[in-house]
Amino acid sequence: MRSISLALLCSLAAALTASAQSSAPLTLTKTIALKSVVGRFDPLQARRLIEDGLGRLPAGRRARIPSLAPLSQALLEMKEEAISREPRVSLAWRFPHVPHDEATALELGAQLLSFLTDGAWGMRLHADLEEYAFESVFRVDLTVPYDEPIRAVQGDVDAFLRQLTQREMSFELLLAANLALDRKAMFDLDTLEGRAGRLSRLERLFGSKVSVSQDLSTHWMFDPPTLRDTARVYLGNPRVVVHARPVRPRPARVERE
Amino acid sequence: MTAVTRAALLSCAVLLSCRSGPSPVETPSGGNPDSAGAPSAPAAAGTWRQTPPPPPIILAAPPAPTVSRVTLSTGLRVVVVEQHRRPVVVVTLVLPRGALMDPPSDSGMTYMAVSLATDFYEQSATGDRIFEEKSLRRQAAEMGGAVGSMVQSDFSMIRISGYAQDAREYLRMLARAAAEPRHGERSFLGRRNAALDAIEDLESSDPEALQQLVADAAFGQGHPYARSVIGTTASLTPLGLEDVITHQQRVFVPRGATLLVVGDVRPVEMLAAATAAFGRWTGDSNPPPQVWAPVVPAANSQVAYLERRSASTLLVCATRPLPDVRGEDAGLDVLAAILGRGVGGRLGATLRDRNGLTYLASADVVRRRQARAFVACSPLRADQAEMGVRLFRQVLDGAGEVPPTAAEVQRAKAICLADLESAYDDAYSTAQTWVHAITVGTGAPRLEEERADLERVTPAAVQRLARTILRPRTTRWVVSGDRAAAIRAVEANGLGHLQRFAPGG
Repeated sequence: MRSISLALLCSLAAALTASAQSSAPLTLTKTIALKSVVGRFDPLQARRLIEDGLGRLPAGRRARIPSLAPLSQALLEMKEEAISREPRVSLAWRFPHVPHDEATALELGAQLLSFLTDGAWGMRLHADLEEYAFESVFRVDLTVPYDEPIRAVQGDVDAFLRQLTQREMSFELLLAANLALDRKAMFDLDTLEGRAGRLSRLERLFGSKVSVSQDLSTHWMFDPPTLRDTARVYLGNPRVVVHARPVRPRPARVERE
Repeated sequence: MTAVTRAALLSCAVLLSCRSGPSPVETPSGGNPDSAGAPSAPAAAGTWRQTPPPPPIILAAPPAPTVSRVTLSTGLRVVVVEQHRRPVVVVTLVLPRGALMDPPSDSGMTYMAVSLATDFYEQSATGDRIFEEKSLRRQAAEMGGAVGSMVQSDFSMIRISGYAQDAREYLRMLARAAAEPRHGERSFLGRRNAALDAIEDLESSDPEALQQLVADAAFGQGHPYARSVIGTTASLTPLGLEDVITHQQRVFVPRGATLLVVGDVRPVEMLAAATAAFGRWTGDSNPPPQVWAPVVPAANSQVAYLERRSASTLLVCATRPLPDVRGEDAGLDVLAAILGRGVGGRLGATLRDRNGLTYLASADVVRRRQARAFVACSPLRADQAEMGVRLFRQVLDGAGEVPPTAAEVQRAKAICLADLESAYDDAYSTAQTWVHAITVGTGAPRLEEERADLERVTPAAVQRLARTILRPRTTRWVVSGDRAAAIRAVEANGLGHLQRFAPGG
């Protein structure tokens, strides 16, 4: 892959430099750029290419962080779903300035939630936290297989969330969640793309100050009460709730047979 | 991921995101795409120079991983591939019995049999209900591992990936799953209902509907390789748990199966652990059935059609089975790469670079144990779909008329060689490389031979292959998108008439 990767790097550098120096509407500056070059190549050659190409980008200024008003009250929306026949509810919380260790607790909580639907056929739960420069977003999506009233779907997702915010998770499950986060990291680090993704994320969040192993050690700090309390504080904030309601809902199978 | 899946996913991803591109400027197609590879971004003269790609540094390919093998008296083959970069392991039980084992009226049976094995027992050996049981997935998760299962036409597999230090336990868990397959009644009902729901939703599901449609077109409707792996409404509705239990006894047999362990492990320990864990796994059944060769279509006038309310995109695929090509794997790969891999491929150069009709075009050879097919796809601008399909056809037709240039062949070979070179990049890639070799039939990766085969491919051989397989009358077309755009494109190019997708058998 070496020669191809370097050729791609070359092309990328040339294209970015050309775009930055032209009147194209795309604005590219070194200040907003992050570089993670991962692979099996000659580092000196790669460095020369980067300096020769990306190095000539104008320095620019860091993009201004937009001032977003915090959510002062919960929002509830309903949308008609024309294609899928499965009701779905999506919950989202915006958190300005979450300390990274608390963000990590929420990430651990998201992993824990993913264990809770094992054996619930057709029900799918996904949760994750995305950390941005100014704020973070925690999302929970629950899809249920058959037609249910909004209140029932909302009840389902709230019941899952209560497992996180009202109860102490078992040590067994917490250990599984911690191991799962580390395993994902191990397999990410084993691949070029995964490694580049991990490094870029750390660069974006911390500059070059935090290593992958330091970052991974954070999620091991939480015991069940701390995790519950952290989740309760953050997930008690106003949230956005969107219900996707199928226009052709599928009746429960038991009613069809 | 199969080539069909990859093509469908890529195409569907673009289908969702494609917006109006620049106004098309039609130019003759089928020419040398080298010129299209030049940078097109505007440059302020004198302010920058293009850095030419550097010569490759001295090739120092990493050594192939060390492999240890043993075959147990039961017929189970154990393969341990050492990879010590990370403390992880991927343990895969590959069963040479896939959806082809399904009786024609009971499609989906193997899928149910294998999926259930990762669920719950629900009852003890004495018939008592088990409370507080943990599924195989949950058991692995508590050790930090992840369980996955897959059923394809030619094979099935159950995989646990996790920490290398837990490899022995993963072996024990897999051995029990194979020797005493789970088949809980509630699990069965849940799985069966979920599969029926998925089939019911197939018409509106992406990319599954497109995958099914392309498989039908590639191998021919009714061919075993075009059959739905998860089954049909007609086959699953009457399916009973007893049928699945009986089928598990046919699928979970050691003869012909391979236990593949890839990761940071010691082979001696793993071989001993595998022998201990799987030694008591017995059973036998018939080998998978032989399938008939797919038929090359003659003067095909039907265009498979999937209706989608896409605002701006018409997805177009051209496909054909390859029963009339013997061997020539390397030549086929080079031809596919010349046509549709990377932005420098002929389809990409013509449809994207010169005419702004797409962001993506792909071509690939889909391989099964007993058949192959060629598939090329591109999501085209719906408002210019007539021209897009015409240019798409011209590229395919042109491949047989003019031999590829030396530069085209070199580029295509570089792409294929890069695939080979990255085959052992990580634990998952290594496992996939082995699974592919086991299931397609060679038994073990033969990367050096494949490399040599690629090096020997000549432009004349590629042209000869193109002449054989890209004859217009033998190509089956698949389109997905807005009905009016599809009709315009198909009629303007004389492809035939639309045949709407009817899912669920």
